[in-house]
Amino acid sequence: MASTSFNIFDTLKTRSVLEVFAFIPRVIRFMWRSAPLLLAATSVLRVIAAVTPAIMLWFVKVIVDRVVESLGSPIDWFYVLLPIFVITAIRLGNSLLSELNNIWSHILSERVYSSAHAQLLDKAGSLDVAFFEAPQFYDRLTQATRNVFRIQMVVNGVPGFLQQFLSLAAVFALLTILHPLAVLLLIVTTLPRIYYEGYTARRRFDMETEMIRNYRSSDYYGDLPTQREKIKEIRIFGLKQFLVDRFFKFRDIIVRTIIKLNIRFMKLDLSINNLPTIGIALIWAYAVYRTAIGELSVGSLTMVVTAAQTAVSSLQGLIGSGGNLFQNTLFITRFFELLDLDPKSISGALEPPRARNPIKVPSPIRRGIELQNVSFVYPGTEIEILKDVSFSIPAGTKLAIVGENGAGKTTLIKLLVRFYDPTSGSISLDHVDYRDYELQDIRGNISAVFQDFVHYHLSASDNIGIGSVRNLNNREVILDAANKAGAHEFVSKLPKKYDTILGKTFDEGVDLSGGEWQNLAIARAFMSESQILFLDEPTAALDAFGEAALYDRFARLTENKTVIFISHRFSTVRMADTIVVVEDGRIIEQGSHEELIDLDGKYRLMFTTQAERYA
Amino acid sequence: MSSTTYDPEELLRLKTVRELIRIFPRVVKLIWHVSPLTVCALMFVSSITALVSPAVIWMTKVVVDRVVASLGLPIDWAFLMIPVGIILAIWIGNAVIGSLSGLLSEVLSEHVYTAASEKLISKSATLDIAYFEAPKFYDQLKQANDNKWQVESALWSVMGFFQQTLSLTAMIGLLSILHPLAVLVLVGTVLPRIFLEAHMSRRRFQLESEMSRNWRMAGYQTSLLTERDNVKEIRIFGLVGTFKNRFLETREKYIQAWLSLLKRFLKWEMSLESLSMMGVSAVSIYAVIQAASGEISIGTLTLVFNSSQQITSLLTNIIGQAGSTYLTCLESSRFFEVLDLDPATISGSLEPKRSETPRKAPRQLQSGIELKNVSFSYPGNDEVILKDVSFFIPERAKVALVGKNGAGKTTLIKLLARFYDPIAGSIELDGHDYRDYDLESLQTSMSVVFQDIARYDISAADNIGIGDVAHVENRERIVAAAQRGGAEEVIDGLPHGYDTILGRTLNEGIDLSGGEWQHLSIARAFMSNANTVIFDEPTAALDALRERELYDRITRLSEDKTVIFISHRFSTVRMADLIVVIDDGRAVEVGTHEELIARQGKYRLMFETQAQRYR
Repeated sequence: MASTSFNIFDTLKTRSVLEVFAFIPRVIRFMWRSAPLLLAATSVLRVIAAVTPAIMLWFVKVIVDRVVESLGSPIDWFYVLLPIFVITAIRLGNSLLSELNNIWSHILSERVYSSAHAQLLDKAGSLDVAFFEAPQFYDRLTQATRNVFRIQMVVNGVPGFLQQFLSLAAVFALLTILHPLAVLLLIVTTLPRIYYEGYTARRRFDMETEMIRNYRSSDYYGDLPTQREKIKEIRIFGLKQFLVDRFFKFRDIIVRTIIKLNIRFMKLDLSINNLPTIGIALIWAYAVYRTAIGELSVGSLTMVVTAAQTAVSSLQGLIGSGGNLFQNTLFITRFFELLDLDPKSISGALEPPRARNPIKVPSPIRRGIELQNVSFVYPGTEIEILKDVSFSIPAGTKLAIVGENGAGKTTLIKLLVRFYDPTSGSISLDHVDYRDYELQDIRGNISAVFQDFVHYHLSASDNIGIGSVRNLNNREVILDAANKAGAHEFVSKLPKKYDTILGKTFDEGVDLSGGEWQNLAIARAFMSESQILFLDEPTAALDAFGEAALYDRFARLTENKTVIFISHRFSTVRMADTIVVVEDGRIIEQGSHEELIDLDGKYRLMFTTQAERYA
Repeated sequence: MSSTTYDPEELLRLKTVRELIRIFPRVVKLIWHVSPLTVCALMFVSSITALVSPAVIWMTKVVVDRVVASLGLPIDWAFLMIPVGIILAIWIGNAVIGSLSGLLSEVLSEHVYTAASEKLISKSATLDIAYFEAPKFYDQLKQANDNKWQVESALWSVMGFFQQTLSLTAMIGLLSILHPLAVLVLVGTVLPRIFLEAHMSRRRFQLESEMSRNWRMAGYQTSLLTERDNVKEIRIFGLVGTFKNRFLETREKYIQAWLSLLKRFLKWEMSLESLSMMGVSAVSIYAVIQAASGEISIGTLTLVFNSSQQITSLLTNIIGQAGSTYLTCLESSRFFEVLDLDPATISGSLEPKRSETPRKAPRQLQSGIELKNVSFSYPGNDEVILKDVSFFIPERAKVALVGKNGAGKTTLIKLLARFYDPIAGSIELDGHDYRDYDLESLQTSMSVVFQDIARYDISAADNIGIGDVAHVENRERIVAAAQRGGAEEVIDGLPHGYDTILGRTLNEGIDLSGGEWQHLSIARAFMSNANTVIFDEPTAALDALRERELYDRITRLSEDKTVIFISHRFSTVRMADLIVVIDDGRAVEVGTHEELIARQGKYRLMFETQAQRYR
């Protein structure tokens, strides 16, 4: 029903029951590491709870027997009532212990969840950017994240399952009083049902897998008109009826298939569901017979009658909770797989540090960055995005990268911030290969405004402050960065100024315009004291004044920094000390604005195309 | 934790049972409409199911009594085995009915889900844009959409509640054979515990509602770490630790608060639990005494044991069931609230129809669109965004809107598309007020390429075709629109051409780059035979050559259309027949490029600011 249940299909295809349950020892180890004492305590309580029902059944038998014995003779009250008091004591003890067990189990599951989620975040935070750009890995990460909360259910499910199992064994033991074969009879009549449950679950699953396209499509059409980003177009293009029609088209297929399947199941259901019932009835008849001929006490009769019913229902309960456990564990396998994921397992993952003690980035950087014959192919593709690119960026200079859409500019930036390593060739900083530096240290010395910068739905202050986590709460530094980027003016006009929550995620959030968000992203980049600054189309959303104001301050703001930027606006580009023109993955021209104009090549063509309109 | 879909704050808001009673008939009505016969059949079946367990307990008593009666006598098979046979028959009958009701409820569920979805799609496709832009209402809509399946859950919980109450009544009837007071003792001792449970869960809601804001914040921040869009910045700024710690802090706070709540109640819970145990024991002791003194039969003794156990567990279940009924009704109430939304209830919603037979928008504009003293402020916000704006857009003119970020350009477009009505002044189309036209006909006579282009995860052909739903299957027209929008190249590169499914909703979907989506959305705009085309800064992501190409294309292909566009690039703006300069909500200058340059005003200043960098 709920659309969230579908990702299980992607997961389930490859996994058998055994494979999934092989993860259970791991879950238990994980629990043990997260909260050993709680795990031990709840385990003991669960064992006690497991045998209690059988013990109670036994004492009920004793009561009945003693009552029957004393019929017609003078009553020995102590003898008759003693078992009741014992039962009361057991019940009381059991329920008090189960209160404790509830609390402890709950805390256990909360603790395990905290620790699982923290590990997941750590892992996700440590994976290379290449993972996030490879769809199959990204899907797995999303699945693992979305389902990590299920570990709480597994944490309760595993001991619960074992408890039910133990409890069933105890009831079986009682039934052997009647006849050892009684147990066998119950199991044999219930087995087809277990098998059948598995079969129907499988069929349902197959059906839903087959129908997954229809499910997703109908959901998609159903969700469209509830999305803010889409509603304007839906109105302009008059799409309402179209959406309803498409929705029905896919729903109809689903509903018809489900009905057909269920009618088939019902026929099977009728024969198989009655088997265990017949098993119980046979046991009852036999018990009645043995009691009538005096071989069994009346107490034992009542015990057997109840025990047979309890056994069958807990056997079926065991199947049910086994099924749930299977499902939840299945989801959790994604989580463990993610933890196991070798950061190097993806093609395109960064090379591990070459030296045992990676070098620190020098401060200040003296010479600069140099690219030597750099070529690059995205993992899993064959197109060479960058071909034999060489140029150098002297420390403290401003470099502009220009070129048409798709020429390879953004990829070049990805290599320069070391999200990827070149496929061949090398990038060096002060004559030392990038790969010899500590990764964190390179990143720590870089600040960037990406083209698709993030709109953090946090406070305005956090939006800027996270540019330098160290100064996250240092209002002075934040104000300074906001001023530099020209963000201070509009932030001061927000209802709670720097404490205003931005974006539409939260009720009290205030949304900003594209240009304002961009100003914040720039402020964020100015927060850090990094020596290198990357700007990918930093002014695309700014108006002419905002752009001009930023560039007027640009030289002062980026003093001592090495700046590399991408822009389509040649008014911006000409400010650079060096301009490299990228075409089809190659550097075709490089030099200062004047030099390139004189060269009369691609750069000049692009510049004049834009400039002539301002003539 | 993250699995709970309800927002506790909302839950507390709807406290009274009265409100529940208001929602429930609507749930029933909706379901009743889907299939009255099925609903009747299900009610009937669940009444029968409710009586199975009391009937079996009664027959068990008969079995035991007959066995005791025949002790020491020659065996009368019929006398002994008939009750066992009856029980078997009851069980088999129950199984048959059970399978049937399983089928019925499954079918009903699917149909109810379809019906609920259809209602919501139709509703949200007609709600004013104002709803989508007000965070509170938008949340409500989202929640209604997420919770639409709760409508049927509400029915099942109510059915369950009904069934268990019936079962309980029958059990109480059985127990009163022992003594009417026994029932009183049992219920009297169990009730306090139930009240405690109810009180505790209310406290727990309170706790969660206090925590809910923190939760949402923490959830948002962890999602920042695992989503693809943010990964680059997270790496560059080294934010993993910060966000992870905020998450863990919130969780720890929650666990501690919850723990102290539990500890506070533990004492009470244990004493009330003991009290209810005492009740059960008192009844049992009384029954044993009666049996030993021959007042009641041994069969009745077992009946008392069985039924008192059932009564306590039914009472607890019923309370749980009541809770979940409450919850599901509550959640489905969100759904109904959205269906109830009256377009006139939100400030900023459109004026209702002025006449019964509103005007149809003309196929071709006769004179043009005129803004007369238009003022506007967003609902719930005092800031006046547009102030007394007047200008005329002649038919087939190419009009550019320019101005600083936040000057009111996008808002003006929202008014031109009649997503909002002006708060003062009017907009006239061919001399008639916008409000005299049929809304749908007016809106579909325009075509808009929004700044935040919509990406539809459907086929490439559909992506273009929905620009004119009437011809969504007309491949010829779609291909023509693709050519005009410059999307041909994109589509030629797709594995299945026009039939390629785009986006990530379906597994086989292909994701496009921002620029490629933009080409599709421009083609979509060309698909419609709208007489007015609006472009809201569609070129920000394009390089200089492509931008020029696009504008040449737009002007060439829209000869017979009125074109209104927003741009920050004056190289593009100057091509317009008419330029409107918006500053601080006013149309400060209107004219051609040459006229405005000659005026030496705002326009010239902006133009020069940009142009000087090209000289």
